[in-house]
Amino acid sequence: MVRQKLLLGVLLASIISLPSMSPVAAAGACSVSDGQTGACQGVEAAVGDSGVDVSAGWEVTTPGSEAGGDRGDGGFGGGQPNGNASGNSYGNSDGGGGDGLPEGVSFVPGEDGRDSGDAASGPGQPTRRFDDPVPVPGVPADPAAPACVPQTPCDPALVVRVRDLVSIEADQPVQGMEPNGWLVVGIPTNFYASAAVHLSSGPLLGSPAEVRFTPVGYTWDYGDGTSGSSAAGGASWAAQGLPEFSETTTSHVYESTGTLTIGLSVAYAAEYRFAGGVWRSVDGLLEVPASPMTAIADRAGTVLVAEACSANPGGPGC
Amino acid sequence: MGNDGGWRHGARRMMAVACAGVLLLSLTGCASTPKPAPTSSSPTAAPIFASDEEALAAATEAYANYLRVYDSGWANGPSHMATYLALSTGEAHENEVASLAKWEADGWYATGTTTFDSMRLQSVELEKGVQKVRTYLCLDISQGDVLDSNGNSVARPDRPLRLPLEVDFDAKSPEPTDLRISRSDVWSGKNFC
Repeated sequence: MVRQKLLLGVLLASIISLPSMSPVAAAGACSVSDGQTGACQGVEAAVGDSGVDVSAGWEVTTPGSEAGGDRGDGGFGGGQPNGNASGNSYGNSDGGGGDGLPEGVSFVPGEDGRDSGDAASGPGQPTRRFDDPVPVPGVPADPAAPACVPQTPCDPALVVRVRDLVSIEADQPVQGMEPNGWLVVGIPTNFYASAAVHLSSGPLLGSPAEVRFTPVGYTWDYGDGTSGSSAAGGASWAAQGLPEFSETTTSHVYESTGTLTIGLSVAYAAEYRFAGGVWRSVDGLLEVPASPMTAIADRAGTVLVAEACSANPGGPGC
Repeated sequence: MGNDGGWRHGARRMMAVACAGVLLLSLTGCASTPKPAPTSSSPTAAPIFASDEEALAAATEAYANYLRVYDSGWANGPSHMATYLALSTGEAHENEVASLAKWEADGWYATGTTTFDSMRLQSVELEKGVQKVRTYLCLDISQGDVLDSNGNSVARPDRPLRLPLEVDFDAKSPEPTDLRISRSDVWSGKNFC
C-alpha cells in the first residue's frame, strides 16, 4: 500500500505540474503564430479513419434503434440547429466537387436536387444563407428553390437522438478500485471511474459535426448480484483525503467471498454542433461500458493466521 | 429486433408524409416553416457578396494578404506586427495579440514563409448584422520556424506542419481589404490537409 501511495503521489504531482509546462492555445483556437510553435491543439493525425465506425453497441435508447438506421421519425417541434437559420436557404454553388471531405463523408454524387440548404456543411459543401428576406438578384426564392429536407442539418426542427451518433463515439471510461484487484468481505471497497467532458467529431446525419459528451451517471455492477448508481464518478481514498477502507459515496461492502467481475457503465449526455455553430442537446443518454475488472473477495485474516483454519479451526481469525 | 422492419417502415412512411407536407408548405409560400432565429440580424441588412464565388475569392485574397503581412512583419522585426494584427478582429485578434505578446516577452520571432491552400467555403451569411464568410483551409507552416533570441528553434518538433483550420472572416465590403479574420480554429474532425 505504501508503494501505491507513493506512486499515486508521484502521479498527482505530475498532473499538477502539467499546466505550468509550455503554453498551449485555448482549446480549438489556432492562430498562425500558435500553429508555428506547435501550440494548436486538437489536430488529428492526417491519416486514419476517425469516423465511420458503426460499433455503437452500447446505445440504450428507444426500441427499434439500429445503427445507421432511421432518423426520419417525427420531431418537427424543436429548436433551430444553427441559431442563424432563416427563411432563405439555398446554395451549393458547386455541389459536386466534394473531393477531400474532411470526415470521409460521402455525399452522393449528383445529389444537387436533394438538399442545397445544408446549414452547416463541411468542407466542399459551401452554403449560402442570408438573414435577409430579400433574395439575391437572379436567385429567386420561389418554390423551385430546393427546400430543406427534414432531419438534415438545415432543418430548424432537427432532432438528433443518441442513436443518430453512429459514427461519433464517446471515449470509453476507465474504472478503478481500492484495494486493486482484491477486496475484503465486510469492509468497504472503493470504486471510482475516470470519465470527463470531452469532444468527439465525425459525420452526423451526413455532415461533419462535433459532439460534446458529459458524464452524468455511473452505474456499477458489483459482480455479486448487486449494483449501485452514482451521479459522481468517485475518487480514490487518497484523493478524497480519507483513510483506507473508508466508506465513500461509491464504495460497496461485499458479503461473501469469490471471484468477481465488476462492470461499470457511464451515462453521457451529449450535445452536437455543426461547423462551429451553437451547441444543441442530443435526445437521450449514451451508455458506455468500461472494461470489466476482476477481483478476488476474501476474508480479512485469512492470510494472517498461523495455520489454515481447516487445520486449526479454533485458531485466531477462523 | 424482429419488429424493426415494421417500425422502420412506419417511420419512413411518416417521413414521406412529412416531406410532402413541407413541400406543400413551401409551394404555397407559407412562411411558417423556418422561423428566424433570435440571433438573426436586422432584416434590412443586405448581403454583401453577390455570389459564393465572389465571397471565396475575397476570402482567399484576404488570407493570402494576411500571411504575407505576417511573414514580412517578422522580416522587419516584431515592432512591425501591428499591421498584421490590424487584419484580425474579435476572438482571433485577441488570441493572436496574446500569443505575440508572449513571443515578444520571450524574444521569439518567426522566420520563413507561411502558406495556405485548399480553401473552401463553408458558408456566407449575415450574423447579427455582420457578413460572415466561413472557410476551411490548410495552413502550411513547413517553410517557417520560430526562433528564440539565440537563434534556437522553439517550435515543437512534433508539431503538425499542415493545419486544418476553420477560418472566419467579417466582411465590411466585398473588397478583400475589408475582410478581417475573426476566428481561426483547428478543425477538430478528420484532418483534411
